[in-house]
Amino acid sequence: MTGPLKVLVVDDEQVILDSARKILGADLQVLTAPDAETASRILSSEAPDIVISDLVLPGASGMKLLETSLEHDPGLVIILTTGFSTVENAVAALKHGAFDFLPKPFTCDELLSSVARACRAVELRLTLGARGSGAARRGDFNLGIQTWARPERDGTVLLGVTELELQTLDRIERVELPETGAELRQGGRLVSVLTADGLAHSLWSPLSGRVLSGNDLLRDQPESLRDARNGARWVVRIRPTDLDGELPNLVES
Amino acid sequence: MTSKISHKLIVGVAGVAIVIIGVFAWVILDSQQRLLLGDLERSANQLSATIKSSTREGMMLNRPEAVQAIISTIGAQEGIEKVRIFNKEGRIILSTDPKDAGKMVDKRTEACYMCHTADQPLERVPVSQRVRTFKTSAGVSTFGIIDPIYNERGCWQSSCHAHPKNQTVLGVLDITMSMADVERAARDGRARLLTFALIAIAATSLMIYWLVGRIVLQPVRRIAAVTRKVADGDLSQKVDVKTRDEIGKLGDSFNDMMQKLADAQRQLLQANKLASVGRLAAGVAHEINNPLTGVLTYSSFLLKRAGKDSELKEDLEVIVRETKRCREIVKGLLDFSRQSVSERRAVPINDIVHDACRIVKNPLSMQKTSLVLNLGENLPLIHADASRMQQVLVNLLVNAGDAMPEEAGGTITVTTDLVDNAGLGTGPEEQRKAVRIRVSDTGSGIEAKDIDKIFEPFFSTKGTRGNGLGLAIVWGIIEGHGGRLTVQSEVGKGTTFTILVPLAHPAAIESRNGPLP
Repeated sequence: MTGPLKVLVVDDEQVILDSARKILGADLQVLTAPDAETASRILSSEAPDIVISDLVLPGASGMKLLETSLEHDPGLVIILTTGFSTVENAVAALKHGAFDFLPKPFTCDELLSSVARACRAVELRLTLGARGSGAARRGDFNLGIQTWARPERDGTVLLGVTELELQTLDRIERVELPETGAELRQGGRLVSVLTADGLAHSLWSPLSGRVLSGNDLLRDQPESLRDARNGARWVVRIRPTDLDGELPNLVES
Repeated sequence: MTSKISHKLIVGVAGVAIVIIGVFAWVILDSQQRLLLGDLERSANQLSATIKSSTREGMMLNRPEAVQAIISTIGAQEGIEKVRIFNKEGRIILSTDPKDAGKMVDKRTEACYMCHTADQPLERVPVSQRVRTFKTSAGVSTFGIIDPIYNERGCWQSSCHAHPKNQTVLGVLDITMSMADVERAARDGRARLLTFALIAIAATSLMIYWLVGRIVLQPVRRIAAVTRKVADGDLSQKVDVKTRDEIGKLGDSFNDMMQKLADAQRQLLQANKLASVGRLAAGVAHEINNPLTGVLTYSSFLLKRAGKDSELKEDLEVIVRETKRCREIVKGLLDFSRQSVSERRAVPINDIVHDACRIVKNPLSMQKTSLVLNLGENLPLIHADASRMQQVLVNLLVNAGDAMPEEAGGTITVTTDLVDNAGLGTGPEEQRKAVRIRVSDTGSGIEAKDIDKIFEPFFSTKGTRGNGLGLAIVWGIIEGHGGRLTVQSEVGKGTTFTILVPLAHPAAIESRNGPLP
């Protein structure tokens, strides 16, 4: 890599642009834009590697910005964020090709963990070019490039983390699974993955449903999340609450 | 309006009374008249027979002066106008009025027309045809009877004068009597009857008026007064009509309707409140999350850089922690604003209860609270969103646990059963059934002043531990199911939340038994 990665932060709140500059400025070159128009200009003039954009912007929406910039550069890593952080927004953002969704208000660490994964993704650009296909297993339904859902014959569904997402994670030290009986929501948190770089990564659930069981293997051997053998990579088994309604939000691989 | 009804009624009743009583009076008057005339006729006939028999001898002996004396004597009696005897040609032979003697009677006049309608003389006519009433030229109503004098052996054998043998009728005895008495009696009767009829009509009308007023108008007026108050917005009004007739029933169903209306209004109010809170929450969330992001990123960034400066670190930790709490509150608000019952299916309630209990079991046992399940067997499936219903039960169970005294703990009992007339719907019997879930605790109870507020958003007695949305969410979910949530509580004894949920439709049960999607 030649020099630090460029990140463009788009938000109509100056305080957020300032804080992003402070937090990310140490390792990255931070560009800011207060609206979609400025952002588009910077996108074409500066060609940033990562974009962090609010969903609600003066002028065009963040979702529009996401679509046009991905058309322009399909390899662009975009993190969407919003104060109106409903799960629908998260799901829509990931479905439309966002790399991650960061609900406001976020902490410094939450921003750093998301950006850290985004940086890895940029470094792995070649692999990421095949977003939504390739490494993913056939018949899985993916929420963006993050997580997958695999309907089983008995009506339950296995949920797991995609190969691509795992590549962006440092060595996994701990996987915090949801408790049995807990209620997951599509676009809500599925797991929290703590990595060796000291970051905690929240990954979003592809479906809603009640947790029937967690993959206990992950408690003792968190790194087995990467292990494709013996189906070790699944995280939880759920009984979905609205499979038919939610599958259209996912991308079948 | 009411006065119009009573006016209509009184006019109607009076009309009917006039017709009935009028016809009645007319019939009575008519028959009375007939009776009087009959009497007159009978006495006239008798009189005529008497005259005939008492003058017979005089006639036979051809002593007209004797006959004249008899008829004069009889004709002098009160009420008898004239007694006359005509011969066959219509000449008056004898009369109580001396001026009449020798006069000819025109056969066409009223006295004769009954027998002589045609020129043919009628020889035998019944009494009823021999009487007549007419007015004299002086205007006096008069009753007349003619009695033919028939030929008999003594008449044509007598030597005095020749009555031919073949002549049937020799002459006519004509008696006319004044009808003044009869008419007076009839007039009196008519006057009495009319008076009576008028009194009867008036009395009937007044009585009906009074009865209608008492039985119908008064209660109707009371109901109308209550309706006006209700229209002015006072839904607490009740109709006080205790009768067991249709109006009483109307009052009862009115009260019933008001009860349901008040319930519905209360529920609607609560639903509206929840909806507006939801909209407000969504708006506030977005506005607050931006500045909150500033606070959280800066404070957490500073905390990261604080390093070993423990005092600064501690203070920053407080800021980060409290900001995160704000975040959770806003998130709760957003979740609350998005309450929806999306996935209703035919589900077994007891399974949901078991699942909910599994989730709260550990925290409850830490609170030294035991959980008793008293679940009905063979309960029908309910029409519900299983995850939402579970959320309801978890909320109620957690609340119940929190209501327990800290050291002593207590018992939570969950009961499920079937109720026949839950009042959730008004359809046939099957549709009125509902599954009832009761969550009872032996906790501190809810004070009476709070019990109306517990389902309101942001009402909490838990202080910083709760956001005041739990029961509002529970209420919203049950409402979304078309169910009902009620609470009974006694301070120091405990609280019971009762949920009624409608049963699953038979079609939904069928689809549940089909293959899984």
